[in-house]
Amino acid sequence: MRNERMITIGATINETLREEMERDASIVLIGEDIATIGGRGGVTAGLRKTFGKDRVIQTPLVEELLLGIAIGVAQSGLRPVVEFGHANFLMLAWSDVYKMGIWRRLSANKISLPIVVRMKFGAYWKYGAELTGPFISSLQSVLGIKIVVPSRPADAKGLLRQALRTDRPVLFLEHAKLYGNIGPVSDDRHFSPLDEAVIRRSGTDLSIISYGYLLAEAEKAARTLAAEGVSVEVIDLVSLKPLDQKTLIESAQKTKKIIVFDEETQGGGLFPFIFTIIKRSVPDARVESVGSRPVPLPFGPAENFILPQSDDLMKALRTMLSG
Amino acid sequence: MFYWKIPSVMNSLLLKNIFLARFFDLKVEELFRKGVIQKWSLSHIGQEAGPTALCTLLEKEDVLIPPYRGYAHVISKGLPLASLASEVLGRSFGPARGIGTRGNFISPDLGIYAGSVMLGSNFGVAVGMALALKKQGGRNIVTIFFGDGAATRPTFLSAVNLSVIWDLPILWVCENNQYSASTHDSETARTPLSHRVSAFGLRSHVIDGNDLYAVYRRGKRIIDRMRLQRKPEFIELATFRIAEHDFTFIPGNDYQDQRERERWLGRDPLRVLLGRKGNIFSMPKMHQAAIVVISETAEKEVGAAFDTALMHLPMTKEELLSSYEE
Repeated sequence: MRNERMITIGATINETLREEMERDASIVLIGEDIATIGGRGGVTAGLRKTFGKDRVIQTPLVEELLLGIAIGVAQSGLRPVVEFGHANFLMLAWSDVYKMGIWRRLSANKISLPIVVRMKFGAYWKYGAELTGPFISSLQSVLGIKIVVPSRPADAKGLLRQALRTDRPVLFLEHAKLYGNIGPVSDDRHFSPLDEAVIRRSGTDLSIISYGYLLAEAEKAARTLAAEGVSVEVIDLVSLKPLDQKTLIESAQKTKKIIVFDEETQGGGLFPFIFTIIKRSVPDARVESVGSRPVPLPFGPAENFILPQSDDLMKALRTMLSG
Repeated sequence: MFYWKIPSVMNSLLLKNIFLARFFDLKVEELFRKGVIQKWSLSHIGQEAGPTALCTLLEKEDVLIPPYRGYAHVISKGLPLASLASEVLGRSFGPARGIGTRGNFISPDLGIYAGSVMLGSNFGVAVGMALALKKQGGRNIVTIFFGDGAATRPTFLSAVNLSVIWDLPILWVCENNQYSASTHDSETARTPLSHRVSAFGLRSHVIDGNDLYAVYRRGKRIIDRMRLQRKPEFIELATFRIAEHDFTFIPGNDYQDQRERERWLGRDPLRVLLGRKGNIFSMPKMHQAAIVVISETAEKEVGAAFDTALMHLPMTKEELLSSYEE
């Protein structure tokens, strides 16, 4: 690819916001600490200086209002990008997450809500249950929103670009452990679809479905098993809502053995939704879950007793392969 | 004098709008009792004067976020009556195609945005819309109406604070009808709302919300000032909900103080309008005639609007499903 560069996820989001704000004067950023310290992960650093106070709007701690503000800004014809410092803070705004999803419909499609909600999320960074909680599954029932999670810099760029050209609300989840993840980004690769999973590694014996930070663990496990002659397919969900039914079903038809590897609760998280999608079309497929124990995450390294580890995945893989 | 210093064209418009709002509300109640309106429904009778005066003052490009109770706001902002009646009757001819919630008469081309029954959820929306107006420049303002109940939501004071620190052109209007459903205002806070918002640095005003002309005169000064100064202001309209909280409440409540109630009944906005004696015959003959003509015309217009609305149908199942794009 031309113009390929190595860049981190954090830096590529920053760069993409800058490029998009230059392209489209209707984009405004709203959030806490986004001007002075560049938000969580420094993702919005320097943007206030370039685009000024009217386009980089720093708020007090008002999560309960952030999405209402975004709805107001959006139904006035602008394109807000809202930052929640931690995805768990979204729980303070739950009624507006719901409202954001239904509002266009209730308004007879007379308004559009091109809202991007950026959030740092995810476990494995030892901050405890208050700032890290399994709630992505509860978002599945919210109508009218999309949820994406980039696991590599090129996706972060492509997804953000696509989200900023969509007229529906998009929750853009940024895994806390991945901001520093470095990878190739091509300036030519402009867009990533918001509703498609990506097969990271093709295989025939078993499929691992994952997203975000755990994806690298899934790929590692697949490489280990490849050395033993087992062919494992690794699917990066990318879109957590809607789930890409086609890719999931095709993979299940091929391998008949599926493991959903999710940092959310074992048997919870996205597992019930994926299980239903697959079982409805491929009844003889086996679908298992590897996730965290149903215990609030302790603060500090003890979280590893709760969160799924690479050993847990490997054990589940071997059990399924032998069965 | 009821026409004090108000240009006669504006005076006629104010009178027309308040009578339209009253007759509209009466018609809704009548149709609800007959079972034609089957969902829950709310009466705004007794509170029309303030919203009529303020919304008649708004320009088309001003943003109005109405409350979930009342028709005076959107009527005075220019929403055609037949369209309004259609929404209330659940007909697809309505602004939200008959499936909006109470208070949702979304008409962006008239500067009318959706009200919400999730009380308090529109305060952030007002802030967002004012941010957009501020960015765009110009003289237009956002006006948001809400009740004393919604004003006790924590989002209210938080949004007020943002409007002050960001110099947003938002006119916050609380219709204090004394009761949040059945809970009296005095049970919800120790200090008056106007004091609470003042503490945030918001310029606040308490106006007799049942006096059309008082609200008009003071509202005009406030709105004119906001167009130039681009800063938020707050109005508390002291008023009273004459009917029950909604039509499904059992009549004959015992939560209201009967003397307080009688005092307010004597101050029905239409009585206040007719002068100190609340009697049309105390007015000069010319005004008597004018007011009779205006009210009779308004009643006919409301009747015709409902006749038109009743000729339309609700959305069909196919329309409902096809208009929804996930």
